[in-house]
Amino acid sequence: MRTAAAVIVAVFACIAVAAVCLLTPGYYAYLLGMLATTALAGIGLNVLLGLAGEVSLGQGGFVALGAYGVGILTTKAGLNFWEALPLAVLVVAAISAALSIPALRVTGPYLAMVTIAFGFIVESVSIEWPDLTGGSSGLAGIPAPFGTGGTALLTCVFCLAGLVLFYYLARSPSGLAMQAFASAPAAARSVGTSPVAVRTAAFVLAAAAAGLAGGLQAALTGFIAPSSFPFSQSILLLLVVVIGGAGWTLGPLIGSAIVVFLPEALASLAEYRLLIFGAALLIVLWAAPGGIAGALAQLLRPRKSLTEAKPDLDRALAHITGARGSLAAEGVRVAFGGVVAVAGVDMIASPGRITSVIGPNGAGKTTLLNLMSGFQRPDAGTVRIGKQDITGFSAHDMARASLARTFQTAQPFVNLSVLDNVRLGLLRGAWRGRADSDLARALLALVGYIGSNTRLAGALPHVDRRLVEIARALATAPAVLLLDEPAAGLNEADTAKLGGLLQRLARAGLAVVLVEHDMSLVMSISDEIVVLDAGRRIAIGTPAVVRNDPSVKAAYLGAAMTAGPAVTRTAGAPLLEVDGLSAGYGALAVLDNVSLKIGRGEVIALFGPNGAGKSTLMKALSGLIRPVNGSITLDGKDIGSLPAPQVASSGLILVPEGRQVFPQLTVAENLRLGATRRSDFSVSEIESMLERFPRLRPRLHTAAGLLSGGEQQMLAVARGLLAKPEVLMLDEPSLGLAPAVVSELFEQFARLRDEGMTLLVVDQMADYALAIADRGYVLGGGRVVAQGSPSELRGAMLDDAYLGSAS
Amino acid sequence: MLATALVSGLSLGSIYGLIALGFTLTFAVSGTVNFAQGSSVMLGAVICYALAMGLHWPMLIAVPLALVGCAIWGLIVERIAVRPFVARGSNAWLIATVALGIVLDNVVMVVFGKEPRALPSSLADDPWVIGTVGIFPLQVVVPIVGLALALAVHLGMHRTGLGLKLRAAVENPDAARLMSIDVTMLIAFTYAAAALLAGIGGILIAPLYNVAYDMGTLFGIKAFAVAILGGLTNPWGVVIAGLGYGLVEACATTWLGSSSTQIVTFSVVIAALVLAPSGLFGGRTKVRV
Amino acid sequence: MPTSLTRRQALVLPAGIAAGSLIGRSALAAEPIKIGLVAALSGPSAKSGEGITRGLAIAIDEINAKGGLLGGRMLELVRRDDESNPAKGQTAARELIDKEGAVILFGGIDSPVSLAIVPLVNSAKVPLMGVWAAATNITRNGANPNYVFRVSAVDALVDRALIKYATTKFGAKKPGLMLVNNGWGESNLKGLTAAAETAGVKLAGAEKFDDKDPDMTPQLQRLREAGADSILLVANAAPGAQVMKSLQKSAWVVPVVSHWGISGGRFPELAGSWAGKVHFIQTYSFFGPQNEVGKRVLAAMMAKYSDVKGPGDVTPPVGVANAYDAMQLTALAIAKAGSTEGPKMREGFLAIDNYQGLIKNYAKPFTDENHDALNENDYVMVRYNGDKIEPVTG
Repeated sequence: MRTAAAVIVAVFACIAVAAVCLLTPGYYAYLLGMLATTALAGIGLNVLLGLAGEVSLGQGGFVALGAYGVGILTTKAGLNFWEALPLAVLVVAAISAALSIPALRVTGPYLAMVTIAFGFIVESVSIEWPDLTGGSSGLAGIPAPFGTGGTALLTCVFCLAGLVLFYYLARSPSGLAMQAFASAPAAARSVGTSPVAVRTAAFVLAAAAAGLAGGLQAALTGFIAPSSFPFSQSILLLLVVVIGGAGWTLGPLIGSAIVVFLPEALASLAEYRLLIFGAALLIVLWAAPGGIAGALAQLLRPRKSLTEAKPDLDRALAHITGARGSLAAEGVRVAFGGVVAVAGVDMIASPGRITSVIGPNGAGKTTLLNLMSGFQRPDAGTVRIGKQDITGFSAHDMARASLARTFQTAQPFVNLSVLDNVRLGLLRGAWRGRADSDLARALLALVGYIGSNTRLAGALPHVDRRLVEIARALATAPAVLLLDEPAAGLNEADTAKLGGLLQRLARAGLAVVLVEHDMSLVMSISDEIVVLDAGRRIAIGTPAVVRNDPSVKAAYLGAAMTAGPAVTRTAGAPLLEVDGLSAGYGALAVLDNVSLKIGRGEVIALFGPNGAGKSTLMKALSGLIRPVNGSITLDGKDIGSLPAPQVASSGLILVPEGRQVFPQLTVAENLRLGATRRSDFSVSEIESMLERFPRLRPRLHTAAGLLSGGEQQMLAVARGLLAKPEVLMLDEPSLGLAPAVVSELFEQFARLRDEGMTLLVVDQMADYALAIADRGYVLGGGRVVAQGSPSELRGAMLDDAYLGSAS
Repeated sequence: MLATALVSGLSLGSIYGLIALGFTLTFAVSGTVNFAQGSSVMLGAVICYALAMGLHWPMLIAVPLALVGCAIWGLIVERIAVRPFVARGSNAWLIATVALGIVLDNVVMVVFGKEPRALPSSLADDPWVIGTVGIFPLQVVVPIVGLALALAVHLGMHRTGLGLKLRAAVENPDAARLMSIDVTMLIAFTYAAAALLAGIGGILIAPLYNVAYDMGTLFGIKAFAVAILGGLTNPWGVVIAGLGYGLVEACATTWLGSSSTQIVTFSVVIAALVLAPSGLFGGRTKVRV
Repeated sequence: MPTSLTRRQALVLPAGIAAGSLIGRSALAAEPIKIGLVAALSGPSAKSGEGITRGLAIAIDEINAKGGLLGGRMLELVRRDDESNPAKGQTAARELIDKEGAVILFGGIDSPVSLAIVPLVNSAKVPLMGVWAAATNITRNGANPNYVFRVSAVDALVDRALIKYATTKFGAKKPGLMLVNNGWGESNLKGLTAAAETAGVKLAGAEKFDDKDPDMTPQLQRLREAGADSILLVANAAPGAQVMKSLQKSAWVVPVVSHWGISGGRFPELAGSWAGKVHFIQTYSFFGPQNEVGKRVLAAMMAKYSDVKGPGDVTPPVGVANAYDAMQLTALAIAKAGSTEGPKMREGFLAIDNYQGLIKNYAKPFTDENHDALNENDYVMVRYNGDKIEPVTG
């Protein structure tokens, strides 16, 4: 019904356009012609901006080139219009291909500048080469193929063709690849898309369309001069796409209608026209930030996708059981600026088995994954699939080498439909070819995705993003599948389903490599576990073996520390109260109804496995995540709606995970910044911090980025203390530090406790944290699962939370 | 001829650098720029003209008031053309700032008039002449002020509490917010400062040039090129790039003729970006997967 | 509520208005004659468009005050901004002809825009009256019949006059050209080169600058090194003033002879103390003793526009004067034609015998061979004295 209606509307629109061109006075036809040329150039820019996500401010230069091409070839070389037009477009395409060599080395504002410069060069050349271009006086007498009406109709036909081509391009392998690259470059490479080819194609297509528009404009106006193509035209073209709706087929048409017709409607305002025009643009930008086509699409969202054939799961299984091969890493090693992230690790992932890589934060798990999947080049060592050496392959060659991966933060192509995400995987970076939608649907069914296949992946809930990402990886028909924390953010039921899926995939013959923090998942499905710590393999074996390995326990829980607090202290009046707190990141809900209380002078430890929501809780408390549900009160004052700077001002200070010192500022400057909330800061207080952390003294005027990890952590704590906090929150202070340094830090925390500071400590080294805490809470799956005194928490329950149950 | 090219190139180049400094400030803190920076150049000159020539107020009052006007304009730009779009994760601020620039240019056209006016200065009337090379005293003042302001920006960034906060916000906005630094306000402040620098540029160039509602456009584009060449985040790089750009422009005109000026300068821009994709003095782009 | 309309009335009323307008259409006497203007109303040349607007408005007021044309039809000016862009100019011209029903178009300062419109008006058979753009091939466009007329300078003629003046007045043997980098500058490059050749003068060189260039010292330095003994300047007021400032800065005392561009805008204010050193060509000056028409126009300008306090505020004078005379000539042509049809108006222009105008006494201003009402004899050489323009004597 809707399709039929759309066809009828389109047919009537075409008839109306033809009627206007052929039957009305020249002005209306000419205006339609101008609209069509503007839209045509806009369609080209839409390929670059809407599909490939790059900004060009030099499209006017290509329009001018096309116009001069036709103008010169007809008036100077004596060709007729039909010969000149394709030649001119070819010339523009060739020039843009040459320009793409420098242009595509840069991106963002730098690319914008290259295109601006190009536009000005074109303008200058057209002025300074009068023998060829007619100079500033321009070229007159450019022949048109028909009269004004006919030529206008011709441009409209080209424009229509452009719209149809864009529609199909956006859905073709190369169009999908452009969009994929724009929304998630790393993921696009992981399914085999080469960045250079995709960006060059978008750039040249955009230029060719602009050149065609210029050639048609030359014929329509019969006269061109450098002043016909001012710099403002390039900005206007960008506007056409942005206002119309980047990425939408009809966007440039709607945008040009506004940019061409609005000034005409305002023509009688004469000199006030641009003023009103500018203001109107601002209003449209405010009202419809996704462009008008985007806003319309929201209104006219399709109600129901077509009924689809029942997915053929056998076909999907057959698709993924084609390639076979084990993944072997031998002595792979990489260092970043002197810090060794992975120090010579060996591992083999065999077909039909699930091999898991675990280890505390900062152990080098993700880096190892990147080394094996081509996102990072190892300094030493080899990586092989079966017999093929793939060391140093770039990421986009990996898909063809039968290796697929997913990412720590799910990276679906948010601006593509679920189905297209998977189809792109099927293409493995090929430019042409048919990506079988039925197979894609079958793969989605295989991974257990049950939502709509036409939905944009960006609109999916978290769990579905994971599934789509896995289906996309499977679509490349890999022998080896690498998964980076697939269970992060999933609830128990979804995690169990995921576990089942991975086991099925392994049974189908894939070599599955799993990096995961959810220990119950890892322990229940893995055939083999590799344990990393500080870039080294410290253990390997079956789940049972690894669970009972003392070095693994030490890596996770820290070596047992000296005795806990000698006396049980009485808590002061409640200082920080959290009640029913729920929070998350966009689609991803992490915290679910968390409540806790901290009395003045109390030390509270917060435990839980990675992904349990500890850091999220810290961010929510400190105001880095807003808005949140539930209440947070500090000393009776509601701070749940305050942004981070005001939360800090009221005295709730977070020493964030990973230190977060300002690397290029000196230690002294970092310290001074800590006291920002106070008006009574005096330099002498820095001295007291140097007494507390004597290691900082010789580094006082060194850039903080040059400090060792331990020194940076001390700096971060000292910086927090200088705020004179009401409550000091420490997020993973021991992360990545040597045991001796960790002990030193926790001694300082103990001293702070004795001085009466209220502390909230999150640390993986549970024993350290328990040693100084008055009370503790255990988080699991975003909820408080246990609380109590250190002695109550110590022991089996904590082991369970970290290393998973033995089941 | 060399002397002429040097004098002309350095004095114009320091103006470009001054305006480009504004791009640097806002880009470093917020990753956005006012693409209509040229309009701020114009606004400074026009307000100064209106107060000094229209109302006959002394320069000592006119100049500070003009700069206050520019700063307020910077705040307006940030508030209505940048913040709403950045908050939605949209990069439409690029077009929005251009649109707002169009609005300002045309409001000024209606209010101030279409005709260029002169803002006379005793520093731009009586040249110092050595042989065939002459120079207005103001042309010496301009680079000095330019370098002094670059130095002031540098000192302000490195010697004041506000500068410290700015640098902190540049390096790690989230951590800065944890230090109770209001990054949103800092961004607004950088927009005000950027417009102020542009306004100073406008007031400095006005006596050598003229005051018109559309005087800023070309300065804005060239300053953007300079900012990009300088690496967008490096204030000294931008100042040096400004001087270099001015010199290339003047030398191209002097030895190759005026018809090649634009072709040469913009080709140099492209070539420089090919060799140094994030500007001549920009930091290496950080790549993370 | 007696004033409120009933539903029935509300329905009938628009119909009545529509009917009324139909009647109005048939009663041609009441319908205004639309005069179109396509000129730069925004952008760097906006001032020129305003000058032309004012000249046209004063003439139209006079004509309407006398009861209009063709038995009481009033003239109405319809203006469109071309943004100095030929494509926009063409759009505007088509709109004025096809939608607004303008019977004649007036053109603006930009030659490329006029050149883009020329073929259009010749095929639409609607006259185009140039009042500023001076490119030679606007009127000499090869069309027959030719619908383009002009009351303005012709570059080819002006350039001959400029070279002649430089050689006779200053004894120039090697003039250097300083030209604005647009179509106008280019047209004069051709004209001046040809004129110099005819006069047997060698040019030291030709340098271009952009409208917005803040410093022309490098260009001047090149001419100086090439041995130029005088400067021929083609530019509007603002860039022209920049050339003078750059000359002043390098303390190069050299005779400067200029096209009329610098008479628009506020050249004396912009150029400062060296403004008086330029001798330039002009069709009309509102300074000095005025003829009857001059007095009348000046008085009307001061009455109509609050910012006009004296002759110095009639800026740019060429735009105002040319537009005024061109409008009066158009009125005569319409009256002669007895119609607003293009072909008849064209005949009407060719049939004008005599008109006592602002710039001069026009006798047979347009003929089949010559569509330019002004010629070499209508140029005067003038210079600034303060902000007054006065003829160069001696």
